[in-house]
Amino acid sequence: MPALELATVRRRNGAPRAYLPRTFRWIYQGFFLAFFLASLALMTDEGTRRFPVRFLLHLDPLSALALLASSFVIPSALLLSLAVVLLSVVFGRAFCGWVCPVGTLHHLASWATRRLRRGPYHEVNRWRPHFRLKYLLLVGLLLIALSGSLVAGLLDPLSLLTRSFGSGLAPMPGAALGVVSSRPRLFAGAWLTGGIFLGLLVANRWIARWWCRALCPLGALLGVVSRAAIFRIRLDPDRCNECRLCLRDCQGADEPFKKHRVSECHVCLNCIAACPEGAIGFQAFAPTAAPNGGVDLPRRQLVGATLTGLVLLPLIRAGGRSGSVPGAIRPPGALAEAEFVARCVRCGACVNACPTAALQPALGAAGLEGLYTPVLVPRRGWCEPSCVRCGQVCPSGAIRALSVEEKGWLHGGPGIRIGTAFFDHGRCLPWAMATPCIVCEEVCPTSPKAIWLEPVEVARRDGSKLLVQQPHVEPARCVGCGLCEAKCPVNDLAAIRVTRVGESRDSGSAFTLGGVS
Amino acid sequence: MPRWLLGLLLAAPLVGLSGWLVHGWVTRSQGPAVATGLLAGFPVPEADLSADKLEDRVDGAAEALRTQGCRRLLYWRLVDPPADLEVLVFRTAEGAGTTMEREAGPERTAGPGEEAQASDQAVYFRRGPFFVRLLLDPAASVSAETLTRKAHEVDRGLRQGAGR
Amino acid sequence: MTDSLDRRLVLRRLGQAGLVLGTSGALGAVGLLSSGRFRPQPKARALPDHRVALDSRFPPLAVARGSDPALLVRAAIQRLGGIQRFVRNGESVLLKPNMAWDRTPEQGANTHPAVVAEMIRQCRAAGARRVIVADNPVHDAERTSQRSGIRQAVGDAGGEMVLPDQCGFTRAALLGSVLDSWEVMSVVFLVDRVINLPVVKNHSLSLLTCGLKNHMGLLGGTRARLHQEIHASLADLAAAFRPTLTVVDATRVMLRGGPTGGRLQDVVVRNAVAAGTDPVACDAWAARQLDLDPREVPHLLQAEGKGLGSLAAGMGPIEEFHAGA
Repeated sequence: MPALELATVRRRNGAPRAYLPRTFRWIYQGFFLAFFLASLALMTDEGTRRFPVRFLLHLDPLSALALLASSFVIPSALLLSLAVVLLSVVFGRAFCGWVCPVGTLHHLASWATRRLRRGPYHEVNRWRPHFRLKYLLLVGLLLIALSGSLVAGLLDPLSLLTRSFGSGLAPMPGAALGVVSSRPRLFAGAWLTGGIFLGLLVANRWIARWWCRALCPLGALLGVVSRAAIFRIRLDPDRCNECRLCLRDCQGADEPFKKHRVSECHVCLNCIAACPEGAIGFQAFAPTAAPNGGVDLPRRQLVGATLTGLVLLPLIRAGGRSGSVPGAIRPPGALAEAEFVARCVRCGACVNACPTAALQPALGAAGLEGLYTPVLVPRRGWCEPSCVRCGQVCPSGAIRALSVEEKGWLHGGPGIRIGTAFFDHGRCLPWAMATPCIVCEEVCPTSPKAIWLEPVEVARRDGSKLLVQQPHVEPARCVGCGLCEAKCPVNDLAAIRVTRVGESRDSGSAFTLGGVS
Repeated sequence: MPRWLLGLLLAAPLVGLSGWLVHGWVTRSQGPAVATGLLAGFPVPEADLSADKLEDRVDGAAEALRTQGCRRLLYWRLVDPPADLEVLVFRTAEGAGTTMEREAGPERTAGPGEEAQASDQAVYFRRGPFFVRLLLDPAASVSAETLTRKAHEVDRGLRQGAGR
Repeated sequence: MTDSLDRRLVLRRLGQAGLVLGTSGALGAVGLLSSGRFRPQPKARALPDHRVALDSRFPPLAVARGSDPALLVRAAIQRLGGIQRFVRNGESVLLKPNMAWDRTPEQGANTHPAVVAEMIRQCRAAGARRVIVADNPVHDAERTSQRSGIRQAVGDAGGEMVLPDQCGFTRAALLGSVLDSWEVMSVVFLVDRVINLPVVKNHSLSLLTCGLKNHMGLLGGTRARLHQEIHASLADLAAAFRPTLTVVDATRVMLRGGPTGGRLQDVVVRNAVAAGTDPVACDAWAARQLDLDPREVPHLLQAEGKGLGSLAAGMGPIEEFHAGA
């Protein structure tokens, strides 16, 4: 059709007409985006509100499937994701178009940049072969999950979203304004975490909803399920005048005109509203033109993805499993390391919820396999004795929800142990510099204290003697909270440092004969 | 499909979800930050013994309790009804369960907590790693109801207290 | 025609040039005259003296014993001449409890909330227009304020809770033998009266943590450095901070494991409250609750040496007023 004719049609018909379900779609998108932001804010709350902060993460069928693959178990809360599978079987990828906050943000970004994508819209907004990449990613990630590494969480959109906002973008306004706080929330690699998310949003300038179309493994999963979708877009060829206006605002690049790919359709219903002849409808049991419902994956690409997944896994593990990296302290209530890495969906909810910002996303600290899993960094913050928030917000049970009593630190222990403190005698003031201190002993929360003092006479530079109290750690009593390291006045590299050895979740980690309870 | 019906069907899930969320926002369960002891709503216990001091209260049974993982014993003297209340804290729920089995026998009755054994003179129950003994004074004459009600109060205190 | 066009062009060009030069000149003047973003450290301010005049009619220290903390506070202050002696109508008061630790009231690591609540009520009854309760906790501030029960008590009694993030810190001149200046919570400079509300606990380094050590709760920065000369530092703090009144919470005394505490066995119920205008005497009395000889607590000796009070006033037999049951 000549370009001039298309332009005339557009001008004559103007904006899409109002369409009730599409109006509701806007409302649902706004609602779930607001819900996500509220959940993020309430994660740092005490936990007294009965607000379901984990609801969106529990809705995620990719997390559920990947967890099933990696640990052969699905936590009961994640069975909620079956509702989304049901939704997809009935309505197709309505989750992508109506619920997913990542989708909403990308939709907003692509709407804002719509005028920058110049050219005839049926060219600019067409389906491209590289959109198959998300299916290959899905296959690869699930394969790696089968071996016990839940790296699927890195690309899962809800984990990506929680992580990017919680430990990437959220501290930005404060940092920009130079807000001074006694406990600034600073996260390792925030520039990377936030930057990746912003970068993905920028991609919308060239291709609308590029993440959703080309990369999102959850979209791929729902796309596969949508092959069986009962309700789908149907074009009535008798009423169609081939103006192709339906392609202009299509969110999924699923080409409602002629060769509709139901696996790519986000059920945004823009095509229905745009059609001047009313030729498109959303109908039950409508026939679809494209083969495979639009997944259209050549066999060799599928084989390629499988092989890549199988090769990458030993490569990731070649540097040693995440448990072999010394030092990386896990949150209290974490499962044993192998199970932890298999269950952690890398959502960063715990990092977001930790009141002292002690939990940080691991970039290298837990090896490549542990990328974006949480580690406790005492220099950034300590593990507050009475706090059990991380286990309360963990959506997959990688961190057990402990009670305050089970953690045991509020009443002085004994209880969970996450590590042990070790003195650096070359930096500790009473040991190395003939100067009194004992702040570590002062703040140690166990009863009796894990740090005990030995009065020792030391010599000063001028030869005079001074009685100082030299601190020692009793490993059986130390719980690894990190208060000592956090409060040590030698604040760049503390004179007392906590590492993971001696943690109670892993009997292999005991280094004393008295062992672990 | 009539337009109003379509609108209603589309709006219904949204309304339901909003209601649930608002309810979640305004309702607060007793937070962990409330300043309370192990039993919310109860005064400071008469005795609070750690594992090595159990002999002060239970004499011969102390060693057996420690083997089961008992690490703390709290004791209250109640006035109304006149009774002795003891809460034993174990490292695991299994330890508490085994001790309950030994003390209260295998029979279970309706009552507070996760498992209970209630009689006219005594109520034993377990919630998680806590084992509770509520023993009425032999001389006292109160209805079984009063005793049970007190036991439920203790259970509520456990659920809302610092051990939650 | 050409002339007028040229003239208009010339004027316009001159105007543009003038604008550029004017803006540059103005910016240059601003740069020259302002002191820049990186100002030198602001001068340290001297701490105000919040004391009231001595009155020989009343003892420097009064002790009340009984089971109701509120009654004890009331009785002890009454013996000192009543709250009107310390707080006047329309004044603002800062109450400084020990609220440093994420512990319950039973664990005895913080000042009991009932003591704080009664103190707020007393000040309001005397006509105070604002009663602020402030501290810089060691543990997480929000949790500490809640678990200690003090946030609830402040809300119920009509006071205001101020945590460090809300008021910030101001550099204060301490001018002591060890401490020259230090960051102090800004509230101290904004109130008319300061009432110190410590709790009695043991401490491995300073032997006793009570009124003098409680001043550390107002400090910011890396206050963990004070431990290197703890006794001299505490004496310096005592000389710099001069509160109106000290009310010592000895309802529960921590005998071991201080200052953090944890186990309930380390805490003993003593059911006493002492109040006094002599901070050294108050701490000397507190030392006796821990079976310490006050003369063997170096920071108390040093404080007495600086003329801040009398150990003897807290050591001799003191008449205890029995309040309530």
